[in-house]
Amino acid sequence: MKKVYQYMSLFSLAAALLATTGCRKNNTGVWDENKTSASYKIKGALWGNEDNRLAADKDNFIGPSEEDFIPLKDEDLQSQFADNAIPQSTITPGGEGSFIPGIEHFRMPTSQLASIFRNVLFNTDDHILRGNEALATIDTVASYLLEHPHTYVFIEGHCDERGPQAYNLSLGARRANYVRSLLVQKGVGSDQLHTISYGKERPIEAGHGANAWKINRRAQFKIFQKT
Amino acid sequence: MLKVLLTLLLCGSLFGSEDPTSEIRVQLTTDSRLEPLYLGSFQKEATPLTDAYLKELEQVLKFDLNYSGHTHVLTKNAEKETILLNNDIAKAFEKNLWRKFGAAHVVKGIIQNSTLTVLVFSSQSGKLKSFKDVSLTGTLATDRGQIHKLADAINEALFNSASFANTRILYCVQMKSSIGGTDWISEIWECDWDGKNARQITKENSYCVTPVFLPSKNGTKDRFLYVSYKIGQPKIYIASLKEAAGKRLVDLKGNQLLPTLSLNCDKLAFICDAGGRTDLFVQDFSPNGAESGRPKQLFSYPRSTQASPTFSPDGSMIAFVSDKDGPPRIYVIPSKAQEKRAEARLITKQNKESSCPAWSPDGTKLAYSAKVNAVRQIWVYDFKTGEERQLTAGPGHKENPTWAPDSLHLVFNSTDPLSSELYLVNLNQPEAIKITQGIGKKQYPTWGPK
Repeated sequence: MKKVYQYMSLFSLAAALLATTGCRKNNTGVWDENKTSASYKIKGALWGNEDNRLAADKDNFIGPSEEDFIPLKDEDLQSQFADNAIPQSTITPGGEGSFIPGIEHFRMPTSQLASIFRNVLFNTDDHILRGNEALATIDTVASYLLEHPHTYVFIEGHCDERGPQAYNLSLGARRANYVRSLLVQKGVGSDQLHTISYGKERPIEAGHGANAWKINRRAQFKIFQKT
Repeated sequence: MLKVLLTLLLCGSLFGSEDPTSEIRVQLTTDSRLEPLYLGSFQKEATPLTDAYLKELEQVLKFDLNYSGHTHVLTKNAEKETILLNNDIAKAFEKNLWRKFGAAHVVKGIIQNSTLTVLVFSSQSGKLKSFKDVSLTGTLATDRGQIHKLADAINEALFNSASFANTRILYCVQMKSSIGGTDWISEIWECDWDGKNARQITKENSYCVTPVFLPSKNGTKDRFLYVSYKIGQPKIYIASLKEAAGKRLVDLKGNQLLPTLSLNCDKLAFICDAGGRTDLFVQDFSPNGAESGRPKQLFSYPRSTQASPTFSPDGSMIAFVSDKDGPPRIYVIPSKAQEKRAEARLITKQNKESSCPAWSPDGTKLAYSAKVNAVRQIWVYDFKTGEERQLTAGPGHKENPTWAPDSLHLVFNSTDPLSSELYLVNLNQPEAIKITQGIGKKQYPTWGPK
């Protein structure tokens, strides 16, 4: 009997070792695992409350227009637990017949507006805004745009210098779209919000260290106020 | 039995644990496949072309033969030059003598008036082949093309190699806008495969990136797609080397990025955020340069970013980058859109972060970029064996590889904090050669059709 207890103890030790080493992953590993699994149900617990803002029920899902392209029908692209991708505005700024001018008429916010339309920053290789500061900025921007429905915004998505060039063009677009989807879900008109990706082509901080990278991983606002 | 089980469990836990700081070990190949070739000085007989000009042409041929991936050019010396001056063919190309010199092949050029004749001798077989009537104009840009064609002919005769030297490379040059302000602009340029004859194509004073040649159909080799920010958001355009004013393709909202075409020129793939994510799209395309039908969303995944599609040569598959499982990696899916996305097969498993795949024209390989000790290097995935091997080494982030038509050569850009230049490499010669210089960051190269 004593021998059985010894074996059981050894087995427990082995199991504990397995739990702490063999099955252990770094933080990225945990993130990856949850990102690919069907565990979006627990995303509130995993990613914090900020992600609950993206949860919308299926009835509120805004799908892409089939007139533009033939969309995929996968459920996880439409369910409340997927990231709520908001299709682009039907208006192309500067396009033929568009009442919104091209990006050359959009300006960096100055004076008081600069304190509202502040850059929001992202973690490395991430397109989700984390932390109260960024989300407070989104709240402020949303409030302003709700009060000023004739103000139009280009949301620029940018990356730091470390990621692959071509991939960063996509990642910049993903970041800009994430910010856009947050604002649309706060009631801002879809046509007020347009996205553009510059990848890592337009850093605002020229350095090559952690601080420069942090500042350059951003979504930045340019605005046009129609009189 | 229990002891054995415990031992196995303990061993498994120790050896199976992932060490994120462990180094990636790579095996670099050597250039043992290269055959030694002696290139004699061009001999001239009654020609208006100057010695300096002929020397320049000789250098063009030397570059083409030295980086062909089949031969390396031996150093010149007086004894060999004297032998080649002999008008008696039998004496100039004496098999045993050239074998003794260690030359597997000997190339001798003779210029009469404005015509170049090249004799190529193989010391292994003793055969002599003549390439006649290469007309020279005295205009370097034109004559360089003639020499590149000649190099292709020599390589085809000796090694049955697909042509590559008489091809063009498109790329982007990023620089500060000359029209005031602090904005950067990026225009499309073209050059010969050796980086010479560089010429600016687009003049949009905007941001033009990621050009891609239309595959050679109907004999046309001068049209290309690219992305321009000229109306604000990035959109896809088609233009030609002669008429650089781009015509818009793909009528979709939002950002359209990273276009690519199937070799049959019947399918276009690109990245677009029209649906609110950065998804992979496909659309039918016709060789006359127009898209048809509605674009189809081919791959989208919650909370993920897709990038850099590239078609298999038969157009049936697409390799692309996705971060759906964590860091960006390369996956393959069928290119035919269905109601639901296809199961994406991960094909680059050796590296934790991979990007910018390029499928070789012969379909056997995929070039891509992956980090090794914090520096991006060019890697090649072999579809036959599933093996991945590191092709480049050294400093500078190497990205955006594209294949030459011979599926042997690659061009890519290498970037450090101060510059970004284009480099050539081939599978038999891992040492990369810089082919561009001068002002501006050169990036996003794409190799033209043969």
